[in-house]
Amino acid sequence: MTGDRWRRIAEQIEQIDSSLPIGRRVCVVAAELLAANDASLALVVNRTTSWIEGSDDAAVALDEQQFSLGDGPSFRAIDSLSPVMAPDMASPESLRKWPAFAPVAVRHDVLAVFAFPLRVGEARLGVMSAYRREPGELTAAEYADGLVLASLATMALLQEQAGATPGDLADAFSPGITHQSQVQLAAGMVSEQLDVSIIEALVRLRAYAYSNEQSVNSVARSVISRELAFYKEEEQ
Amino acid sequence: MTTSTESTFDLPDASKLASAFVDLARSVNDGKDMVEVFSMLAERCVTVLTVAACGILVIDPMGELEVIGSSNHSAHLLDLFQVQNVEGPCLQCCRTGTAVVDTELSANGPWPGFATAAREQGYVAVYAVPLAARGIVVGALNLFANQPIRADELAVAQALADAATIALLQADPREDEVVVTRRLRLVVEERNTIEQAKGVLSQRFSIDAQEAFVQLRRAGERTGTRLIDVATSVVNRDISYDAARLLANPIE
Repeated sequence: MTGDRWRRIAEQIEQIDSSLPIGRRVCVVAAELLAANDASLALVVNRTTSWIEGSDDAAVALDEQQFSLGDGPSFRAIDSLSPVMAPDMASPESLRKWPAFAPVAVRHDVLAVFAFPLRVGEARLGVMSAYRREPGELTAAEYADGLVLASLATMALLQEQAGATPGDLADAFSPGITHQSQVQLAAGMVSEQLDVSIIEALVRLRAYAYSNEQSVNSVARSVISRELAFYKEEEQ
Repeated sequence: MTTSTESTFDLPDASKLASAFVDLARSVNDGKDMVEVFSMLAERCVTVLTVAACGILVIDPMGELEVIGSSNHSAHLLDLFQVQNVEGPCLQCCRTGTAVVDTELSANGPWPGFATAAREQGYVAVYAVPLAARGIVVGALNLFANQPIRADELAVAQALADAATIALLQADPREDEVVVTRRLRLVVEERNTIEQAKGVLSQRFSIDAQEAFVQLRRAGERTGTRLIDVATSVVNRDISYDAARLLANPIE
């Protein structure tokens, strides 16, 4: 089963120096597994980056270029349901698709860009990008690794926003523990209770789980059974 | 007439069966989203076969079994699907790529926890039929029965599972691993969006998840909008969509 892939990658991230921010650790592993020179994570709110973490400065600069130009595979991937693959930035096709960013990429010796959206349903957090100096497609295994990395990054970012400490990551990264569909259902309920975005609702569920030492699943279950409801502060 | 103690599965059901396939083919051609196609398929299985509940699970790229269509949205049934991430016929079916039949549901069998949970819900037999394409197993069709079904019904279930797999992959003729992986990821994210929207409506109207799903569907039918687009507009409170505006109040 491919759960092995998840486990292997989660372990690899956990083995990276835990004093580094989690985003950086994901980027370092992403660069390695996707055979990329640089990798980055960008949090995006209203098409504007609010935060970028990279395996190195080059990755951060390339993300910044795409978002200031409003063009490029990573920029496109935020609104996309699927990853955006650009295996040859020097090709005429790439120039047509990314007229502003392709020449910049080539000038920086970046010849392939692979961008994976960070999302859970309608909670769209941003994008993970991998930059290569050589053109060429991702292999099927690299593509699957990219999806797993994007998913792990999404979970880590939600956890971080919820105030989790890095030590809780192992827990968050365990495969097969999330009643994903029930957590999403509960998040929808919380978003209506608090009149907040679905991202905020997912963060609030996790924050509640931490402060009460419960699993996200059991908090979700309490919300669905209506034993637990979240209220706006002024109503309390 | 059958004289066995097993369920009867007579010829008139053939017309139901035919209509199940026709509906499925039509929904795919109409460009309905995958979650809608799989939900319809799960519901049709319960109509066509003598089973009490049906769920369609896919293995997402993380290796988790994800429910993408279910004849019933009860938490108990979802638990039965979820527990199979640890043990159960679905997991074995996905690993081996062959159908699994369990008419014992024994607490001393290969999946004691699952068997006990299924019995508690009143089921006596459980079946898992692989969803596979070109040797890649992408998930399984799960059937829960209050009495054992006949072998020919299982064959029908396999035919429906094959139709579902074609539906899952039809959008792209290149059935290579990357395409399959991408489609699986996409269908799971669509499912997540629909769950989020069900949550919003279940809170807004004080209804359960099953009724919230019905509301989403009705809004889609009334406005000619795909289920996934209805769900997206509900989660984002995007009132530029007729469906989202309509869902300010329950749809009778």
